[in-house]
Amino acid sequence: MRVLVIGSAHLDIIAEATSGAGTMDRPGRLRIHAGGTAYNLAINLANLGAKVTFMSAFNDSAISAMLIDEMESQGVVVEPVIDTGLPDSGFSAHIDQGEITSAVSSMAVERHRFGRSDVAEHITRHDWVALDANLSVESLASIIAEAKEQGRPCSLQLVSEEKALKLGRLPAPDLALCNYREHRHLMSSVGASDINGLVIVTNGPGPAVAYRGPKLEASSRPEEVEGIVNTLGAGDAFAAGVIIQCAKHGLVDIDAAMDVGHATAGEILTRANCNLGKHDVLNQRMSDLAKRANRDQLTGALNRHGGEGALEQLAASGSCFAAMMVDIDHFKDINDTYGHDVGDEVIKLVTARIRDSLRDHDFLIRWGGEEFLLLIPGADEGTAIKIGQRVLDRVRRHQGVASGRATVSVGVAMHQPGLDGKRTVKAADEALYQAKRAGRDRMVVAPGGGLIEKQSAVV
Amino acid sequence: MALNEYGDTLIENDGKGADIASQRLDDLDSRCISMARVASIECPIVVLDVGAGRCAMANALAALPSVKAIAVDPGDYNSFAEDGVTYIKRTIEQFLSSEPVPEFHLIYSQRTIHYLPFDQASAALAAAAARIQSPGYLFLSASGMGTELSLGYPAVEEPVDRRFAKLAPDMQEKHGIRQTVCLYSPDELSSLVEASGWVVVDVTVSEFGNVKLVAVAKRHIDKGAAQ
Repeated sequence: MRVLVIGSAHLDIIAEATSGAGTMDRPGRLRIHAGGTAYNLAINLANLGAKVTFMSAFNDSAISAMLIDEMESQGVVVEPVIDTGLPDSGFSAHIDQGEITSAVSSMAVERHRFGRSDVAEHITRHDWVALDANLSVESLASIIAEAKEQGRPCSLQLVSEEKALKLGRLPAPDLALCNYREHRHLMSSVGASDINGLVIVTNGPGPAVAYRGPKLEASSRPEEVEGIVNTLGAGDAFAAGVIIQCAKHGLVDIDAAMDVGHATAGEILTRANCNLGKHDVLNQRMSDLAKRANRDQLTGALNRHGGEGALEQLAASGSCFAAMMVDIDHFKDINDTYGHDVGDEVIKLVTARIRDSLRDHDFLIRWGGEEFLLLIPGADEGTAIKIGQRVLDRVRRHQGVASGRATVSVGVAMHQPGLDGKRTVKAADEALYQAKRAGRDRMVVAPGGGLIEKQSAVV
Repeated sequence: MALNEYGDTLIENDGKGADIASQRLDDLDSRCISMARVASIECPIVVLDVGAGRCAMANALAALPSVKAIAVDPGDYNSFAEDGVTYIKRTIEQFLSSEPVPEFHLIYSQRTIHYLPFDQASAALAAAAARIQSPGYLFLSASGMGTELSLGYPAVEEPVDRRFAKLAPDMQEKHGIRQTVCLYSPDELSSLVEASGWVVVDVTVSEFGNVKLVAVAKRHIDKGAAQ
């Protein structure tokens, strides 16, 4: 089953008041999602097993790139039209007791004109064309006309009360889907018999009805759903269920199609997500970007910036930890003798040996060129010494590709709650210096409290 | 009326005193959030909030990237749990004896352990130490013997392992703590935690006199040394 979806993908910014009725600035929850009627439909259809191509118009912002990338990562083929003159796309809604009380939308796709020639080839390769009313009337008219000429069934989701009025100005799609509010608004300007195609109207918890012209063709009541956590996206899920059923069996058994729609919508109602795809994609994307900014590209370890953040948080947690400074011995000679490529290989191999010596939640930080800082949460001095010894042993056992055997020197300092983390690291650095002076390939532990006065132990 | 110098008010919590977590973050809260931030840098973590009440702390933790929370409380506070928080309506003993116990990496429990008799508290701490994943930190507080709660407390002379009684009526009224409690001194709480499989890394006493403690599961320290 191949479905061509054309419409909007954008940010949904949802503000839900939790108290303070009657006042202007109300406390509540704010959620920002990747969404949009066509976006949700495309993700839902892909999750229901359809091969989906998504067409839309975007500007060249990072948010547009993220939306496209996210859809592709969820199995949707995206055919974007990039136009730098388009605005950012977004939908901002206020919700009170589960109902949208007001909303503002800005849709780039509405500003772009899709002509018949832009979509003809894509329509040829698909079994169904699904549109949303965020497209302009001109675009909708062109796409519906082309679909009709090619004999492809075509559906239209009406999106909002205002945009529902577009249906009255269009050649009728085979199927129009709307909720009761959008339908009521539509009926204020046209009569039911003025619309030629099939219209399905959902009514929230009440039955959905389907009519063609003046004739009622079917009605279907949703199963009762327990544990509803979210109503946003339920209409898009209903549409996906109806479309996938109609695309397989034709616009014949509308009752069955609506039953599938209700079942699909029921899944959305129990999720904290507006579609059947991955949850909380925007937050995950931002989190991935933040993580990448804190990583060293060569080794995958935390970089200095990320490491300083970890050190600060660890100290703020009031925990004890060990700070261990590790430096590759004679690294300048390796670089000078074998070149920087071999030097990089040695750094990567030493990183791997150190990582093998650590526990899941210990921190490996590339602190400088060939210098690493290890932070070992919860470690006492005995544990730290054993981990340090393990680092020495495992690096020693490694045979370098071209440079021969590599060794490291290790300086250890213990952090006590309430002390400055930077001071502990400085103490570890001083201990490392002592290890280097004592002949390298060894570990020196700073005296208790992280204060360096003299070398206390060579292990 | 304010309960203390922090300005907390009595938002009652099933006879378990004021829900302080929903009113402000204290030092132990901040330390737990810092540890959750840092522990989740390398891989995602789950924080177990024991005696979560209205889920204020669980929600704050679950709002961090790569952090989820399990809120355990026998009360009906499910509706307060936000995205990323799994609310489990159970006591800590029921939770820790369920099969399988969901994975967790940090434990946060403020103003809760004193509602258990000493031997039950010890058993729960030991079970938690056996199940907690690395890095295995515990952020724990208990009502202190040095607080005004001990005024007229009938078990004030009892050794800690037999100390379990209701507060004096005026203290019950003032603080909304109507259930039976075991009040702790800093040394008593530290000893309890140390004897239950933990290494205490820091103990402080709040201005009000409650005991705040940070500990690490001993087996994770040993594991780091033995690997």
